[in-house]
Amino acid sequence: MSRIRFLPLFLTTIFLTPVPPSAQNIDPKEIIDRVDRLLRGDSSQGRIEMTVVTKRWKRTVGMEIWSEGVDKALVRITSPKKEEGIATLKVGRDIWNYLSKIDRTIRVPSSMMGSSWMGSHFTNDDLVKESRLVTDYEIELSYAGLRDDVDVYEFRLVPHEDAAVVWGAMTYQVRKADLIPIWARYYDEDGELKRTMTFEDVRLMGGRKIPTLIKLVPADNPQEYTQMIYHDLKFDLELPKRIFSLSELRR
Amino acid sequence: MLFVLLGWRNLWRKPGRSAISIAAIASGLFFLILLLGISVGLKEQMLSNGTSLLQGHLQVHHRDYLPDRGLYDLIGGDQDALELEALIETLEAQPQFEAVAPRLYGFSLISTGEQSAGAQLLGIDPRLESRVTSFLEGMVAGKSLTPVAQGQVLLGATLAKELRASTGDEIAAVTQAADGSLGNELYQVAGILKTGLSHLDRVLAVIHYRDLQQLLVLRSWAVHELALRIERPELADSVADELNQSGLLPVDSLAQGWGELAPQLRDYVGLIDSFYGFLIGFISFFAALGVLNTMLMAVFERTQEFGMVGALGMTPLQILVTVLVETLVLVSLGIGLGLLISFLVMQPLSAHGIDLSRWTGGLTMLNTRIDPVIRFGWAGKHLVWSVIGMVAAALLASLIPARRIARMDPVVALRGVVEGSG
Amino acid sequence: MILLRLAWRNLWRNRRRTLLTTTTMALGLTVLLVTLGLGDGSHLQMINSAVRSGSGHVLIQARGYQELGGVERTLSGQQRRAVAGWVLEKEHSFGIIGTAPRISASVLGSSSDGSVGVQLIAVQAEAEARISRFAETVAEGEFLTSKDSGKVLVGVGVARKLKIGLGDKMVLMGQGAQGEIESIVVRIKGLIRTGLVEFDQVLVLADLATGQDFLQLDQRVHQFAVLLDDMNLASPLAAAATRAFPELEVLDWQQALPQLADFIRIDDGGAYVFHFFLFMLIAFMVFNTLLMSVLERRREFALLEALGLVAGQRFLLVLLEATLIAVLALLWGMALGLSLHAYLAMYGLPLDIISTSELSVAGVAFEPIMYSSLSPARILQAMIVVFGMSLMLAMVAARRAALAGDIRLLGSH
Repeated sequence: MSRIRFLPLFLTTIFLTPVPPSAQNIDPKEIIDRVDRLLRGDSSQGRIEMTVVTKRWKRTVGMEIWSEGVDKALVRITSPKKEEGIATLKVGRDIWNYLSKIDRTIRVPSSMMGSSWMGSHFTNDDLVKESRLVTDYEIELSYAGLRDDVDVYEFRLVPHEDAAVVWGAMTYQVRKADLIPIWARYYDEDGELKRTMTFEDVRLMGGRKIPTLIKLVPADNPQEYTQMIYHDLKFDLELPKRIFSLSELRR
Repeated sequence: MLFVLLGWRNLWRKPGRSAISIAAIASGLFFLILLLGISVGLKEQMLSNGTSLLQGHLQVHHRDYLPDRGLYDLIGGDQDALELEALIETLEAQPQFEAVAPRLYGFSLISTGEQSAGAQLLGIDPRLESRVTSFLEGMVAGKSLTPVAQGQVLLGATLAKELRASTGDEIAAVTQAADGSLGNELYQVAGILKTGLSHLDRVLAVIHYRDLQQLLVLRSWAVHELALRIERPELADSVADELNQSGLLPVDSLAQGWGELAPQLRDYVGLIDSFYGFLIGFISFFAALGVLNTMLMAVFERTQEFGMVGALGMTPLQILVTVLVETLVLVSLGIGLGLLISFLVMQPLSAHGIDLSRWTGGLTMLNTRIDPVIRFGWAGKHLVWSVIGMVAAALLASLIPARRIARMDPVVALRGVVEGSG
Repeated sequence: MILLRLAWRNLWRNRRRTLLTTTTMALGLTVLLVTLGLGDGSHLQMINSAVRSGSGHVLIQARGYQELGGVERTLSGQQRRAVAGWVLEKEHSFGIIGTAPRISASVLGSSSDGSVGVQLIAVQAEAEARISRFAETVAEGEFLTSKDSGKVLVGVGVARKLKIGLGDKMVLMGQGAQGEIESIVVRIKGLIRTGLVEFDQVLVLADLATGQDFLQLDQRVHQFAVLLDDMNLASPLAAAATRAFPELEVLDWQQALPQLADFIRIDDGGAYVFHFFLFMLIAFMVFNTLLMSVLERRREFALLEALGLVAGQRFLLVLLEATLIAVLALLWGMALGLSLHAYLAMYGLPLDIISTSELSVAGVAFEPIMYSSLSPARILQAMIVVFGMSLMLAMVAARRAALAGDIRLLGSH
C-alpha cells in the first residue's frame, strides 16, 4: 500500500533521470506498474488509428481519446464517415456507447462485457478493467540480460488465487534502458499462450518516450490482429470535468 | 370355394350367436381404430406444437451453419450469390412443400437507453413466415396486418420486461456487422411475442429480414435458413433426403427434417408409436377371446356332425380347414362391419376433432389462444396392422377347437356331445 | 339362498363360459390399471423432475420477483429467518421434506477462451443435495458442500463454450445489489448435465455464501423453495404461506411452471378421451360375452321356467351369477393389474430402446424409464368403474334371460 504513495514520485524520477537504476534497486512491482500506466498518466488526450484484421475483413478506424486516471475514458470515432461521431464513455466500471447515426446513448450491460470493443480483439472488459496488475498479480523478475542485442528485463506475473482475472500467467519483456515494454504475453492456466501484445515504434510524444504502435495478436488466429497507432498524444492536461459525462458524449 | 360356402351356411345356423360374435369383432376393430386415431391425433398435435411453432418441418442451411450458427455461413455463401426469390418460388412450386420462409440471424445489443440487453435477432419475411410457422400468433400486444414491417421489431415477452419496453417504444440495436463496422439502427416496438418457451421469450427480437441485412451489412440475397412446411410432418426426414438429392438447392446447402434437428422430439414421438403395437396386440387378443368362445361352441355342438363327415371320408386336415374358414368368414364379416362403422364415425372426428375444453378449460400453452381440440388421425399402416392382428389372433384362437375336433376319432365324435352347451 | 347356491354352481358347470367372461372383465381391469398407472406415473415423474430442478412444490420470494426478477429484489435477512422458522413449524402437518434458500442472477462468465452469459444459482449445499436433482446430475467431479466457497459446478454446455474443465478457473462478472459491477474468480468443482440442453448451456451452481458475497447480498436471498412429500399439499401450503406472509410472493409449482402445468392438462385431456374409448371397448366386449351366454342358455332358462322359476327369479339368478363373476374378475384383475403395476413401479418401463438422446418435454428433462404410479383413489376408481359397468350390463343381459323362456325350446335339440 505504501508503495503506491511513493509511485508518482518514482515515476517522476524515472522520467527525469535517464540513468537506469542499478540492478539492486529493481522493484518488479514498480516497473510493471509503470508499464501499466505508461499510456495513462493522470490524464491524457490523443488521436489513435486502429486497424483490425480478421479472416473476413480489414478496417481502419480513426479515434480521438481522452482519459483521466484509470477511472475515466472517452473515445470518439473520427473516421470512417459511416461511423463518425460514435463514442464510448467509461466511468468506473460502467460503459456507455453513443451512436451518432441514430442519435442514441445506450448503456452496455455486464453481459456484453465479453464482446469485442468496436470490432477489435480487445474486449469491453479490457477497457473496463482498472489496471490492477500490481494488486492482482505476484510479480517476479525472471530474466535480466540480453535478448536480440537489447538489454532487457523479463517479468513473470502470476495472479493471486482470489484475483478476478481469467489469465493463468503473464510475461512481460521490458527494455532495461528506459523501461519501455517490448511485449506482453497472456497465458491460460495450462501454460498455453492465448494472446500477445507488442509495443513498437518508440517515440517522444507529449513529453514522454512511449511505444506508439501497440499490436494485439490472438494465439489461435495469428493472421488476425488489432493494431493501435498513437498519433499526437498529450499528457497531464487540465481536462474539464464535463468531458466524462453523458451529455458530452453526444457532441 | 366349397369351404367358404359351408362356413357361411354354418354361421347362419345360429344367427343370434353369429350376430353377437360379429358385433364383438366389429366393435373391437372400431374401438381399436378410435384409440389409434386419438393417439395419432395427440402425437400429431405434439409434433405440430413442437415444430410448427418456430422451427418448421424442415430447414435448409449452409452445410457448416449448424451448430455454431456462424454469421458468414449463408445459404449459397460459397458461391457468394443466391437467387433467393427464384429458389423460394421453385421450392413452393414443388407439390410436397406447402410453404417456404427465409430467415436471417444475428446477435446484438438492444437498448431503450438506460436498459440494455443482449438479444437474438431473427429476420423474417412477414408475408411468408406465418405460412410456415405459428409463433407470430402468440403476439400478445400490438396488432397490424403485417406483423412486422420494416423499421419495426417484435420483442419476446421476458426481454421486453427486462428492457421495460412496450409497444410504441423505440429501441436501438447495435451489433458488429459483417464488414466489421458497428451496425446500429432504431426500431419501433410493434408488438410483444409470447412463445411460451422461456429460452426464446428471454432473447428473441424479430425484425424484417431486409432490415437485418442492412444492419449486418449483408447483401439482399443473404439468408441463413429456409424453413419449410409439408403436408405430412412425419415424413419430414425422407422429404429432406429427397430435397438434398434433387439438385434444387445450392451445392453447399443441406436440408434436414425436424427429426434430425430436434432428436428429443423424435424420441418422444417414437415412444408414442411403440404404444400402437401394444394397443393392437391387446385388442386383438380381446377379440380373439370372443372368437375362441364362439368357435368352441360352434364346433362342439356339432361334434356328431363332424364325426359323420369324418367317417364319410373327410380328412382331419380338411376338418381343420373347415373350422378355420368358418372363423375367417366370421371375422371378415366382423371386420367389414367394423370398417364401415369406423369410416362413418372417423369422418367427422378427423375433420373436426374432439374439443377438450370441457375437461381442460382454457389453455395458455405455447401461445395465448390454443384450442384443445384433438383431431383424430387415420393411418393406413395402422389399419392394415389392426386387421392383420385381429385376423391372425382369431385364426390362432380357433386353432384350439379346430385341432381338437380334427384329432378326434370320428367314432368317438359320432357318439355324442363332448361339451355341454346348455 | 337357493338362488345364490344355484348361481354359484351354474358358474362352475360351464367352466369355459365362466372363464371367458371372467377373463374379459379381468383383462379390462388390468389394462385400465396399467394405462392409468403409467400415465399418472409419467406425469408425476415430470413434476418431480421439474420441482426438484428449481421451483420446489412451493416457492416463496419477494413480491414481483416472478415477473420482473432483479438482483436487488430479495427477502431480507429477517424475512428469511421468519420463513425458515415458519416452514419448520409446518413440517409435520404438510409433510415437508426440505427447504432450500436460493439466489439467482444473470451474469457473465469468462475464461481465457472467451465469455458467455450464464445463469448463476447459489444454493445451500446440504439442503440442496437433499431436495433437488442437481446432486444427481453431476456428470464429472463432485457436488458442492458448504465449505466450498469459491467453487462452482457448471453445465456441460458452459464448460464446452469456455473450454474449461475440472479445476480450471472462471471469472464471474455482474451487477450486484448496490448497482455496481462486481467480479469474482471461481474454480470448477464439477460439471452438470441436466438433460435440458438450453439449461446446460447457461447453468453455474455455487454455494450460497459465495453468491451472496459476489452480489453484495449479505444474508439476503431471492427465493425459498419448499419440497413436499405429497404434491397435492402444494396448493394448501401455498395458501397458508400467503396468509402468513402477505408481503411476499408465494407460488405453487403450477404457477411457477405454467408450461408444464398446461402440458399435463392437455395430456390429461387426451388421456380422458382415450380411457373413455378403452372403457367403451371393455364394456362392449363384456356385454358381448354376457349376451352370448344368455343366448346359449335359452334352453336352460326355458327349463327353469318350466320347473317353476318365475321371470323375477330368473332375472335375479342371472344377476347373481354376473355379480359373482364380477367379483371373481375383480379379484383376478386386481391381482394381475396390481402386480404388473408393482413391477413397473419398482423397475419401470425402459424406454432406452426407443430414445437415443436425453428426453425432455415442456421444458423438463426426464429419465428414459417410465414408472407406474397408482394412488388408492385411482385404484378404487378403476375398480368401481369396471365393477359398476359389469353389473349394469349384467342387468341388461339378465332382463333378456328373464324373458327368454320359451317352452317350445325344450323340444328342439
